Amino acid sequence: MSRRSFVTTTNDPIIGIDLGTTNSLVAYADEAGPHLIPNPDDSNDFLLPSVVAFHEAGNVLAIGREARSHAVERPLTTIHSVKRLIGRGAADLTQEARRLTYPLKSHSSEAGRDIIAVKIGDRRFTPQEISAMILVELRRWAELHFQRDVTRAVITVPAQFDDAQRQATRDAGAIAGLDVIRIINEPTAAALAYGLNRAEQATIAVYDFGGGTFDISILRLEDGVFEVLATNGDTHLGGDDLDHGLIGLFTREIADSLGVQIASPAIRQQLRTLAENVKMQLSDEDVANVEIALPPSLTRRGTGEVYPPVSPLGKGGGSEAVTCHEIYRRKITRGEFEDMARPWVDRTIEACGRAMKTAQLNPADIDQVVLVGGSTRIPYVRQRVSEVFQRRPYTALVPEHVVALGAGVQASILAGVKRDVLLLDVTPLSLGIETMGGAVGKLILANTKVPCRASEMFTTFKDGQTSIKINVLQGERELAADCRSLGVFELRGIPPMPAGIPKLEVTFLIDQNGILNVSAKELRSGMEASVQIVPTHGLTREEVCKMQAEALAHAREDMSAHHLIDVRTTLEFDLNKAERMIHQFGRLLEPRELRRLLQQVNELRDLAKISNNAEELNRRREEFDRAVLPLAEMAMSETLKEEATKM
Amino acid sequence: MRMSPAPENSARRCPQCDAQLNNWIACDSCESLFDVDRPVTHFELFDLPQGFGIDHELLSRAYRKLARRVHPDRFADGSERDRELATRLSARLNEAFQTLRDPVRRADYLLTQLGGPTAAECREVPGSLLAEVMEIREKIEEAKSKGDSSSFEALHEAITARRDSTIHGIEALCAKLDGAPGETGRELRKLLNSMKYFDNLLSDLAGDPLSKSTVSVAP
Repeated sequence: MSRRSFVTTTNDPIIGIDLGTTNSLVAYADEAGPHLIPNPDDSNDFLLPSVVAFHEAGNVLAIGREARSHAVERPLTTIHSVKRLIGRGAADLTQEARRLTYPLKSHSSEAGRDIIAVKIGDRRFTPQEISAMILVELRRWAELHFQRDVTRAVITVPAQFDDAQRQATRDAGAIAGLDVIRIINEPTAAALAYGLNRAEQATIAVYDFGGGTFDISILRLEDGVFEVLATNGDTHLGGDDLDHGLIGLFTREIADSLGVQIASPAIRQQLRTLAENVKMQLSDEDVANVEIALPPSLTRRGTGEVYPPVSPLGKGGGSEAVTCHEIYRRKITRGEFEDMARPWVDRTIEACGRAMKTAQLNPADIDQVVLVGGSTRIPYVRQRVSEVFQRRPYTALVPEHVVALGAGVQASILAGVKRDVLLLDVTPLSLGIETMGGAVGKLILANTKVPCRASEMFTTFKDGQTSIKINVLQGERELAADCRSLGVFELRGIPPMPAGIPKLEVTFLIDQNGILNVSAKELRSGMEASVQIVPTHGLTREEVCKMQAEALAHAREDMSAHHLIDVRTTLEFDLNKAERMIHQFGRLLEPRELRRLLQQVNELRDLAKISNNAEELNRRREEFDRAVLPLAEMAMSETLKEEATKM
Repeated sequence: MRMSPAPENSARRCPQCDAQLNNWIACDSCESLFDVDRPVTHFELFDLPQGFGIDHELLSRAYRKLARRVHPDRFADGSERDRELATRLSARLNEAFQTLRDPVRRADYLLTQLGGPTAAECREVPGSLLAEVMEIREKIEEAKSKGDSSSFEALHEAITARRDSTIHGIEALCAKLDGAPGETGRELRKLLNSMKYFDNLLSDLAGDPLSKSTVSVAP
């Protein structure tokens, strides 16, 4: 076999993470195939709700299922659907913000930047930091599962995510202490999960309708290579929209029949839960009952918008609650729900048509249709997908699990465990630069295979100019203002020359993760220019590092893997302290004793570098501390003596 | 005009393991990657004869085979150099594949390889084109002001048909290309230049620039 199969892959496992709008999962794959890693508290539970609940002061109360249970009583500090916010700015989210039960604030007031954060107490958390908390929890599951450190991960994103959203996801990983070695597209991951044991050729359509995003990808599988032919979709179209359709219906009817406007975040949260349940019920049944008890203060007519604390539905124990609550009640049929869902489902079906057009395929050319994401449980969605592709979708795997399983497969490909499969993906959006008059000069078109590269020449227009600013954009529109700005890239270090003389070649490279890398070279001098980036919707490297440190400081201490780091840090601290004492008071020791201590310091330093055994390191540290004790005592009494002579 | 890389290729050996090299960018035996040491054409990269007629099945197979060798996912644990080179070679490979796969891009590339004229050297379009485009544009405006969907469809069909016939013209001229492009090359360049007019008309017609279908993408 080849050389590389003998170069052993590093032993620490690589995990695959589906960081979802509603739920997140973690998986890995071995020779037998991909496996989900369960919640350590419940081996049948693989879904971590992507929800973080905070105390009012801003410290974390709970993550996951428990956090979700706080949603009604703590609507302002229970953060859900953060994936809809990641890598986006306030300007993108005016629609979104109205739906959230929690408030959004601007994170950075710097010019040219538009980063949002969730405000809790006096603290502000960017979506990256909240996502990192979810990732830390998944990492904990994996570390308990493997009984060892986990530092490397593959994370999935919707295929339609732009550069800023991908970068932000990677930053979330970094804040969580994970080296994100690959970002892969969710539909592609799903195809990997399905296509494991198929040696044959097939053209596969992956219809991925999740909580917050919709993707359609068409892939060709041949010789073990998954080649994405086309991808299309919408990062703001998901099951959440159907929920909000129902919420809107209920809210209107409550307003009409009871004359109240619902403004309370708690009731909105209650309606959200109700809508989710109704939607799920209608997947199995033809009719669902809707019932919600409104607190009396709300139903006093004519009071307008009220904002009272609310006891959640179902508690109902207090007698006055039973007598005073006004009840909103109705039945809703599957047909009514389908009518309501139609516009959103129409949009997904149109995207399927566009993807087939890009791939230059007809429905008859598609061999298999794979359903991914919780929203594909809706019978109406399945029916429409069957119609557009003229075939029954394939649903052997649980739609909520498929993406994570595929991420696990990709992790095993990267680890060298699985070598017969390869993914060839495309960039979902066109990349361009702002040209004169606010137009966009396209450099890389949507659906180009990645990695891909484009170069463009620039020059100066002032004598002696040493820097150039380029506004880099992603999107399909003709005007820069209608596309997403990825940031201003400032090329610095251009040798001073008369205007128009420098020949600056700027290379835009979109890597296999769909993430942009920019480099620049002045061709006359051969000098590399440095590229300074002000990310419009993203974090700078310094900000990520700072958040990483903060995340560590605030992390809950139950994480076994961090134990080793702690032991190392303590050992390092003790060694440094001992060295200072040796330096200052070593003369008080016997020369033989002094040599022995110095030798121990060196030995332990080396050991700390190579050993991963926290117990051993801790034991050796304690031994060393005992060995240093006599010196420490001498140092102490010496210091006291010095103090005494000063007085 | 045929410049098959085969003879030269067979003489090349891997500097790492001395195995015979079957392509320009990676060793099949020890999986080392190579910076392409001389300008290799897209055709040479896939070991295909240079010419417009192309065996798509061979091209796809060669592409997948090379992609397996040079994709960065194969070097996740590799050195910084290997990862950087894998990304660069993959970008090069993807560019070559997408150029050869699409008839218009292939014709453009072939013409440039054979000595031009390039798009920068010849900006002409066939004589009647501009008048024709003006006329279609007027019809589009008319249809837009009326909001008449049937005339939209008719226009779409007409422009697509004109675009297709231009592609056929390109293919026919390419078949005639042999050695120095000369006058055939000039005619070919004019037809290639006219492609973007049809693409622009189609995107004008689609109106909503959000629609991805307006972005022309290699097949």
